[in-house]
Amino acid sequence: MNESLNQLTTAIKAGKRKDARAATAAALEAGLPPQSVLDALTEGMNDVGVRFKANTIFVPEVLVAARAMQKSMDLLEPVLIASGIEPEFSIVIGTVEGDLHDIGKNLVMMMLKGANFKVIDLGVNVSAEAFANAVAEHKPDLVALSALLTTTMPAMESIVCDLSRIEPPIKIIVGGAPITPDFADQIGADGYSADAASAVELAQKLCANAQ
Amino acid sequence: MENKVTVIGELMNNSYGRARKAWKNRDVEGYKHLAQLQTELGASYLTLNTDGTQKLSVKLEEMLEFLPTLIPAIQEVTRAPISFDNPHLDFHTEAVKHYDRSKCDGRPILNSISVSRQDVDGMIAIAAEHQMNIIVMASECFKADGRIGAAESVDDVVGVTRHYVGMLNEAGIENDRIIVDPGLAPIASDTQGIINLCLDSIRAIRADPALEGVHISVGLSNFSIGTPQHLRIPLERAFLALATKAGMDWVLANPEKNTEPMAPDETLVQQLKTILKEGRPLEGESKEDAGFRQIDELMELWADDE
Repeated sequence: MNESLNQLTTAIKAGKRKDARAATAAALEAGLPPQSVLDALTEGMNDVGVRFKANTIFVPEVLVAARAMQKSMDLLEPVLIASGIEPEFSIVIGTVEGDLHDIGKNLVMMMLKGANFKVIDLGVNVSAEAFANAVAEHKPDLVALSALLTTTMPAMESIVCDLSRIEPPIKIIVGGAPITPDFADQIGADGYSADAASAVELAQKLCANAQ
Repeated sequence: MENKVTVIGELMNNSYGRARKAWKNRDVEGYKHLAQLQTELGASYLTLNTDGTQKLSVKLEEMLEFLPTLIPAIQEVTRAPISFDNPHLDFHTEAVKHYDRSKCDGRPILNSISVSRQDVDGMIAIAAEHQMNIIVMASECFKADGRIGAAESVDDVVGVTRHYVGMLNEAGIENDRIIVDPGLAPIASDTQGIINLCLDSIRAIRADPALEGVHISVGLSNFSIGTPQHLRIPLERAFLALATKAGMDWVLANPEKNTEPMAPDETLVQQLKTILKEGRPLEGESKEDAGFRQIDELMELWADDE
């Protein structure tokens, strides 16, 4: 593997955003295929996901890794677009109406970006209508809903209910502190995950199955 | 200011495995044990939260059904007032019916009102009629466009606090029965200066004559989520040192942990100050850039581990 690609993977793993940016610039200047740069980036984020799940690193390390990834993506994205390489899958994500919590959602979002998903973030306090509009506009492969309060679980249920009427059908995944696999099942969501790393695995699985 | 905090014990909450087990089996002995334990450990109030969590779903009806048995049972073993933590008005209406005021020292607490709660008027009416204390969540506010949003500035926090304190005073609830929670976020993911906002808000509330005498509290366990296990209690105690110095006098916490504020001259308190100082944006710098400097500084605490 090329030296700058190794450096990029290492920089992402360590959350060194300046190194990540420099390595990305070097790789692109050397004329390496943009896909190989993206793969190096994804490899770094995958490693972060694995170590986070195993409790050997913590939330701050994931955040700085995701930010390093973002700095690299800032350079890489235009090149990817120019060469016609787009993220394979896209996902619309948001915290449901009445709920203002975004830490968990943002963590999921960054991990998804690291796994090369195109992420359309609707923010917090998102209505069923806003979700439906985003689905119509962006035609994503998945919609992800977050709720952090028991009081906003009904909002999650009604949003899932509304989105399930959309044609063609859209897959929906849910998560957040009060959400259980049973609840996800009961409201008709297509999947549930307990943490950010599992959310990525779930999203990948559902998208791959849909193909 | 006296560096001693009034503790609301948080163990009777389904986020804790022991509480979950007691809830699932509707085991009053389990609850009595948790109530007694926390009282012996010095908790002045005891949270009762029977709501659902990631590991358990709970229906409102199930809670309402169990309260008539549960509340008298808890009161058998403790005189510490209960802090009833639930977003539903029906829960509070039912809870007060079964709560025997002659068996507690002080006032029970209604937890809580905020801009995202339904039935705020109903909640206030219950707290007023039953002479309760009440918690105001000041971490959310109305935005200029009328929508609800997270409080982003000291003015937001103080504004929403004044709004509710005014309403409560009008209902006959004086400031010393009001506990303001300015909201505490995990420092591990604080890229937006929320911890600094919390401390600044505590100072601003203390400096506001209209808010004289209110109590200030935060949910302490939140603070250390996402940091290494061995640092969690020390970090919480270091934060407690800063927050009590700023004017916080109550705290929602696990009394089994050491909930004493750390001495101000301890290394970790100084380190935490340095970490939070990094989170203050420099001239022309974005909140996020400063936030990530704070995160970088935070990770230094365990950089040499392994």
